[in-house]
Amino acid sequence: MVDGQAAGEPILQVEGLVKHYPVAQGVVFKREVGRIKAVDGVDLELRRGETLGVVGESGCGKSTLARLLMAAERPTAGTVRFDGRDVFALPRRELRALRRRVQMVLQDPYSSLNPRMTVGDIVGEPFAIHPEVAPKGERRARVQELLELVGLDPDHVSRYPHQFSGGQRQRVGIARALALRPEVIVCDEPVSALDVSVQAQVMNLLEELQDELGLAYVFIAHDLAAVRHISDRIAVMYLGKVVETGDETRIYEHPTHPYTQALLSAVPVPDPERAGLDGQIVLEGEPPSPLDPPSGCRFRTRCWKARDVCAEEEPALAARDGSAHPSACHFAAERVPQAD
Amino acid sequence: MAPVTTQKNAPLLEVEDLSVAFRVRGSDVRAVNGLSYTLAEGETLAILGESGSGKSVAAQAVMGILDSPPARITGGAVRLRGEELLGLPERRRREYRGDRISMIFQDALTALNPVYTVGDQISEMYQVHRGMRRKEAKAKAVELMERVRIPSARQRLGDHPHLFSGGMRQRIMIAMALALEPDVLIADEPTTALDVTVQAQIMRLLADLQAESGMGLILITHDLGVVAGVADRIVVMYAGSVAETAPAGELYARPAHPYTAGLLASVPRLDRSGDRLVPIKGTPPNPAALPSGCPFRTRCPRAEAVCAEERPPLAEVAPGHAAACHFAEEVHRG
Repeated sequence: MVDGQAAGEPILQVEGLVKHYPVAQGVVFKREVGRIKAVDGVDLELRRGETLGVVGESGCGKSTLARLLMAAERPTAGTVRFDGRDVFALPRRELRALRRRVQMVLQDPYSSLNPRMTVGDIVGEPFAIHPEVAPKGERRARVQELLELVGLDPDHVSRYPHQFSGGQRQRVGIARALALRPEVIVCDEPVSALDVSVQAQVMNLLEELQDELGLAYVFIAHDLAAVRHISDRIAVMYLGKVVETGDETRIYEHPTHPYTQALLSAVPVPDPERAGLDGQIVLEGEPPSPLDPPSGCRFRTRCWKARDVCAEEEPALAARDGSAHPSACHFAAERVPQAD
Repeated sequence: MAPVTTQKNAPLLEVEDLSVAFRVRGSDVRAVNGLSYTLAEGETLAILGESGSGKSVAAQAVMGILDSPPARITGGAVRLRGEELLGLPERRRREYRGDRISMIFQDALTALNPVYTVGDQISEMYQVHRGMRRKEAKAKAVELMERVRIPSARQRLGDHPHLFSGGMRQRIMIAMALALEPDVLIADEPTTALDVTVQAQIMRLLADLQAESGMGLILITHDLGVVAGVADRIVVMYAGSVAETAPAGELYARPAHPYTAGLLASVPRLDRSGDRLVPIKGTPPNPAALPSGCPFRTRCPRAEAVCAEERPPLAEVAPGHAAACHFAEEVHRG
């Protein structure tokens, strides 16, 4: 546990988070012709020591959400509270101190490490910005400790990224994220660039580190099986909004939003007995553009349950008669297995 | 269907002892090492492997689109209905490519020409290979776009590739690959770049088209899940050769190679939560420096002295199920 604080109390609270990117046209006089609604009203909560999985297809806003959580971008509206304090209202100095406590692991271990720096310099670089964490004389020892923690040979501090495999590079990225002893790590697709046999190594490492250091993760990925494996709670995103959220077993075994149901049924299961193409819900079309999302419920254009009310009224993310956990669908209900 | 000119009983496609090497800084790196498999009419064969396993290079060799130099086919045979393709002069080979064997790729945007309309690109197939006139070829293109379920095909004929979404571009690629009604379609990671819901659409489309036409389908992928749903038979490749081959159900239920067993234990499953994954230690070997003997031995939980000395041959453990491991029988028994 971190500093004796109880697990389960919220460390990160997101309320009404919105990020719109203006789209401008014109050479001299730019005028705004539209707004890409990347994140459009998201509420989330992350508790100490837990893993919150965020799933969704490309364009659903999950990476923009990650950047907002890191305070790497300012939201158009809404708040992100870390330990009860509004991140975007903090003075600069305090924001910097806070950044130390939220770190990030990126998708691509090839482009996220500077090829001209040794791994020792890469992992130790955060200390240059936050010297209070490790005094100069102790840095090398601390870097070696970190490398050991993520399962790399501490004698390899002076090697360069190209001398490591993809999985090892991702370990370097994780060591760098751990350098400042954060409480929260935002992982944006941390294993999707790795080989299948190596993904399990990195996922196990993340789990071990969580147990050891009491970290809380926001685990963003499109691989639904990986997200289920590592997460305690799940948020499913579609076109900038959370459409369903709840405990891992609720979402995976009793989904009530049609989009979650379709998404889960589309994932191929590595077992020919259960795989087959039967029982799959194959959605028509692709997600609409976030530049001009549909009125009412954003999923209605691809939904087999859609009726008039779906175009008129946006369904709130709330528990309903057919759904014990929050689900943003007027007709939220568990899927009845089909006879055929 | 193209006229059948050769032996009746030969398998549709037969790859035998295929080897491909790359010339890198004066020495040969062997990317494919004695690969053999056969494909029957109407069959779906999945070739499963991680990066560097040689799965894509082998497919390019079969298709006849290897970049050589630096790549070079160093041995083996590729026979279509009994007819040897390797060593044919380029002019003859071209008659097969696209016509009898065609291929689709992972990244449809780079595989399509950005400056021509999709209508031009699809109808070109008919103009070049079938000598059709422009107008006739355009009409065929519309027909084909409808077959791969592109909505309002006629209106979209004049659109350029960038105006299509990822899933639609992959459909255009499939349309081009099927234009000449090939006997064999090789799909190299056809859905890897797509979202799950779109991936499901494309896999279903491929299955339907195959059922309609009876072509043989080779599906190259790293995804154990995608394979399970559609493959009849699976070839697991490791370090350029076959580690194991079996009917799909067999392979998942009773793997006989420690690598296959390791892969199955290391992927998280959607239908299960919780339990720790059992990863395979280490990383796939560098093809330029393969270990002696069995190429998997450095990562293998049950490797013994013999594994370093002797390369295990592909041996049958059950009818149609073979594995290249000294202990295949034991692994198969579980």
